[in-house]
Amino acid sequence: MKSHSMIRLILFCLVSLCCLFPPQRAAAHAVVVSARPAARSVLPAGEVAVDLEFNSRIDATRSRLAVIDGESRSTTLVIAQGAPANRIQSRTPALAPGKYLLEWYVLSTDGHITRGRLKFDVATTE
Amino acid sequence: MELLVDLFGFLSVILRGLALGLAAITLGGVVFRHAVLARAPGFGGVDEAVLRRLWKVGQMSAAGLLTAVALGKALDLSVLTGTVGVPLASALTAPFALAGIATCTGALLMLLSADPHCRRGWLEGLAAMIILAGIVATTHATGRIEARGWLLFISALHQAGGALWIGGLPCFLIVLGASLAPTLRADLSARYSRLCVLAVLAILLSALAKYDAYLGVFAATYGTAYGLMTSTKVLMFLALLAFGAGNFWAVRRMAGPLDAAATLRTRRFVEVEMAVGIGVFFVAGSLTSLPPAIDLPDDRVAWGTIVERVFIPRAPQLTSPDHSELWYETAQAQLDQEAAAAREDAARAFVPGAGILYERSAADMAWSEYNHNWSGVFVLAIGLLALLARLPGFGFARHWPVIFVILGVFIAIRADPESWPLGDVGFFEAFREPGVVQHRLMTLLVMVFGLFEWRVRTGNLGDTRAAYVFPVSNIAGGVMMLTHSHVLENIQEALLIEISHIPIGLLALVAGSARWLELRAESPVRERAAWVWPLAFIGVGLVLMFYRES
Repeated sequence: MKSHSMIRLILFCLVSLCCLFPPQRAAAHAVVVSARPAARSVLPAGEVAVDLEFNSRIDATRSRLAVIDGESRSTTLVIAQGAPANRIQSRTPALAPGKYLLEWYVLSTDGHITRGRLKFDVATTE
Repeated sequence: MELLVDLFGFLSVILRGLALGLAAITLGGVVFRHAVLARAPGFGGVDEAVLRRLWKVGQMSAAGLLTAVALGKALDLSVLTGTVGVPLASALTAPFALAGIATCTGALLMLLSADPHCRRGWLEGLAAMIILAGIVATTHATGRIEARGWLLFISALHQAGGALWIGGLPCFLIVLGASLAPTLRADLSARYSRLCVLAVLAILLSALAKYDAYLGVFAATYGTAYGLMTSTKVLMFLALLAFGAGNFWAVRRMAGPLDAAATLRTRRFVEVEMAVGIGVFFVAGSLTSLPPAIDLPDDRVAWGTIVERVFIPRAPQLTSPDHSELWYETAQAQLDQEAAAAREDAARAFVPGAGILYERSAADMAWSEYNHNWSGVFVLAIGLLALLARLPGFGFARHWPVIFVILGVFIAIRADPESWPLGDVGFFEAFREPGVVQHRLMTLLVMVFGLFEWRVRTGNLGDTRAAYVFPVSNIAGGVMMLTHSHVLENIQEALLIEISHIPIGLLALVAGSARWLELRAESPVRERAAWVWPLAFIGVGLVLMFYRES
């Protein structure tokens, strides 16, 4: 066997092996330590204060936070400046009763992007 | 957009592992050339060709580092601008991007300043420091909330230790292979050996500090994804230490009556050490993508659960559930029924490439266990036959690679029950599903590897170099298996499945290394290694035979 064909075969093995392990779900690097609103909480109608605490420093200016309503309409929230380094804080517009998703894409200072979602409900005020 | 973030996870791990390894070789090369070679007057008489080869290793690794970091950061930036909508100008000034720019600048400076005769040592040193700072700036330490300065220092110490030892191995290998006076070779080897002792101390001390900062308690070492990867790294470090200790003693026998044997043995051990070392860097790359275990105090897998699942064997699942019992079949039957009632076309329960995580019923788990357990039987048979083939009178056993071909056919038929030939999804349509592509590549690889090795065993290949396909494939496969082991936070079931994958990855590394030594080392290492790799295959077979998902 010629050496170049052996090299080709070895390269084939290596490339194939790389392909054998396709992407897993992106590893959650920045983990939410505490969240407000809490997951699956029920809140009164109106504005909702958002405060997500992570296990690592977050680059808040390069992160994104959105609230998605039951009809999949997404509203990007303005992230407050001056929050502690591991927190993302914001406030939603007034929310009508219904089901909502809080969605975030956060950039850790070490360069990892983590996405996450949290469900909450806004109840009809009695 | 979500798919981009998911894809990004794996690619960034691969590029991160590459960058860590190449940075170590670049830095290790600088230290080797300046602290080992250049300290001897006139380079101790080492000839020009050797000096140029050592310099070339540094140049190639610096160029590789520049490429890997540039690619990795380009990927990060595209994800950041694509998913988060950050303008490129802003993304370019993010701390991780600046760290990448610093690493690339350091690599470029190294390319421009280094020369074979170490004339611009201060520039090379500066470039090395910039590279180290750039690499450390994207470790966990950067993101920590408390004691960040201390953790950055610890991280730098850890990286520097790895670079000094593992990164210096390619240069050491060149010196061992060069035609030098035995006393000179022994002197240079002893210098490098002393540096390695320091490097091991740096690694050990920094590892203890990292344990305290990122794991905290022993239960985290097996109960979390981060802990499992760290434990894997520790095992690989111990293997490296064993080889390193062998080299340490061999180096002290050089220039004596056993010089030739000691040098050859050290060369072969260094080759294997480099392979395992590359594996360690990929595991380290994988670790950076996981949250530190100390941040996940809840939802850890308890030791009792691991013992129950992994160490108490249950009879292998050797009978398959019926295809019609699988989740997608029952779901499709229900959709067909509903569509018939509504006189509409039925929707498909399984859509290849839709990116949906489908439910897994008990039958699906049993189906998967059956596949793994039978694969284990095949691999066990391979290991046993490979052992038998070493005994006189068992010539037929040398055909063991044929079983790889049978295993490939088995995987092709069983791995994706919703696709051709068992399911409704056509052969080509199924390529839209990444998992199917994975299995088909695995099938192809296993069969090609089996056929190749069969020709090697039966002497039908004229070129002996073809035999190296076996160890290279095993080592690369083992590294990929270990790198692959990152899971979402602490989903306990996923973690329990990962626990069985790590021993397979480690055993594949052992098998590949042992086969490499069998091919290249002298007696008695060669004979001993020849017994090790079939045993490693038997180990993989047993792990697969008793693999469980429930």
